[in-house]
Amino acid sequence: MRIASVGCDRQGFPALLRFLETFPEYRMDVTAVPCLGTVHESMMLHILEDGYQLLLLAGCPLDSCFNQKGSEFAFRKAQRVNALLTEAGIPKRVACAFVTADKIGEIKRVLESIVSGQKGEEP
Amino acid sequence: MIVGERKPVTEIIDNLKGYRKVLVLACGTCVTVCMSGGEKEAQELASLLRLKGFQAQAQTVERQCEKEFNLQLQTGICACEAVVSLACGIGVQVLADCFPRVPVFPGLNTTFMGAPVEQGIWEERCSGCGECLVHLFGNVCPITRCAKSLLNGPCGGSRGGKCEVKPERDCAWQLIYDRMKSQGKLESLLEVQPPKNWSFSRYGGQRKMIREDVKL
Amino acid sequence: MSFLESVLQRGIFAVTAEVGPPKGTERSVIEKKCLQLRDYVDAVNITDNQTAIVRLSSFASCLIARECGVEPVMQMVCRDRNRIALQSDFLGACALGIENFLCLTGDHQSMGNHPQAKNVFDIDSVQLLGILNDMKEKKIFQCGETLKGEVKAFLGAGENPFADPIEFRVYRLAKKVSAGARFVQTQAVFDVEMFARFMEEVRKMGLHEKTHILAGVIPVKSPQALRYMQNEVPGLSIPASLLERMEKAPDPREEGVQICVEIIEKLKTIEGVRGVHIMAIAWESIVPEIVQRSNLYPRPRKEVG
Repeated sequence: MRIASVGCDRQGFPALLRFLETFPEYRMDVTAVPCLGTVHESMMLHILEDGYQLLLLAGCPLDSCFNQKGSEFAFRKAQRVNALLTEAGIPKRVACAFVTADKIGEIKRVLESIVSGQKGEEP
Repeated sequence: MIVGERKPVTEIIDNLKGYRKVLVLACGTCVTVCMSGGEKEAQELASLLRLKGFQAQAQTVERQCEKEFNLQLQTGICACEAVVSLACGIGVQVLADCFPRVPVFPGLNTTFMGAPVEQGIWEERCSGCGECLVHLFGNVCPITRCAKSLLNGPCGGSRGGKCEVKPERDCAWQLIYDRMKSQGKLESLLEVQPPKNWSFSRYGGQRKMIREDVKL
Repeated sequence: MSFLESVLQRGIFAVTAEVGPPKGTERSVIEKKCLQLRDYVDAVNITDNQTAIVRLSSFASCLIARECGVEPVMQMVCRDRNRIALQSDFLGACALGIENFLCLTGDHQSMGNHPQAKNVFDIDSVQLLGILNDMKEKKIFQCGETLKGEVKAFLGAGENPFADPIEFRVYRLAKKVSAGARFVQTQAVFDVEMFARFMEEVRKMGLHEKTHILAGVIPVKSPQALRYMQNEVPGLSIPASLLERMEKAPDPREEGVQICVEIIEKLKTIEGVRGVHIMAIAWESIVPEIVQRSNLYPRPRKEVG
């Protein structure tokens, strides 16, 4: 499965890098953004158009997003995109992992649940 | 504003069978405000169509209901095989009138004339009856907001301020009663309203307005 | 003058009942129900595609009822027909000797078995009353043109004294009376005290002298039926004590009849109530017993010829 990931400068991106160091068996193309809240639906869809099956968004935990609502907005936008993808019968998804730079277990849990066929986008 | 909802994506895709190069055309006015057919929605739909194998592009015009804005698309339209118009039913038809040889498919189901009540909720407010008498009813339109369009309501199905036909909907006549009461105008509700003249409405046939004083 | 009108004019406490036509062409269904009711009521309402479910038309059913010797009340709703059809049907009914008409708004089509149908609601029940009244009193159609021939009609309306906004209900009744309603059948009364308060307001406005009010009653067979009505039917005010009685009753059917009879006895004592309208839904066979136990039998005889 080709996976792209986008992480926020604060927590998400550092967590993704640490995750890839710790679990080298996972391969992902990683991008940084100032805040997950800046990732709009169109951007999510464009990334998926580039041949990825899964887009993973990594950001601050919902109740401690540095910009208050960035993670929450990203989560809701991801839900909307997933609804569109499901409606159109497109087998791609957007998943969210809300992490801190030193608690990267959530990323593994989300990826594993998707690989094993479940929807892993619940925070 | 005119409110519409995006058609199911599967229906849009079914309509596009046999076409590859598709233009998804947004409208920058009403349907942008109700978040169904604006630039954002057009880009999302174009992405979905590309993921389904179409060669899809998104574009926006200010208003598809005015020919002048559509005619700017001349070159863009020629490059595509079909258009999915995300405008209301009016825009779809005017666009098709501008480019009669191009297959134009509606991407929305146009529903009503209404207003946002709060973010994410829009409600019907006007039926275009052609003879506005809302001032007689505390500025709550009974034609539109009463399920039975009663002018001498309420019916016996008003319960707790809700309509028995659609329990999540307010009973228009409760709203009218409350408003008139607060304005001290309850007596006017005792007057028997005569039968409505429907000849000004859609039931009298398609309407047209002509302003000789502004024609060129 | 219709028999129902003559009973009311004579000051006799009137009894009417209701028959729902079949979902088909079997006229025998109507005949059977009418024959059950004939000697126990003064007139029988025939519903008009009630709850927006397609049934044998009220007009045709009224003719069948007349053939059985029962005086019909033709219910006319505004949901399915415009002013042209309603006036035309009224002329047809008058020409064929139907004399009692109940003008109603009608249940919305979404409640019935054809929810995709387009409704009409060209006019409402108050406007319909006004139109039929003008046809009768002034011999004119709604457009103002004169009509020919006799129009003998006793016009009525329904009213629900318990629906919201409750303070407005007596005013709505006043509108119907001023539009031409000479008799009114109300939604079923379970809370007699609440109905008595409504009647007090009615009397204050003098409406009881301008129209004959028949209070509705519904006999119930089971506590479930009572609870269903409380939850599903708007404006039915059912006191907790009645629910309790039905729930505790060893014989709910008998209790249901007993409650109905008690309500009728109380209604008889309220000034301005000129009769009772028994809506024994799917239980028309119980009407004779209710009429007898309420001391309303025998009914006045119709003159023959």
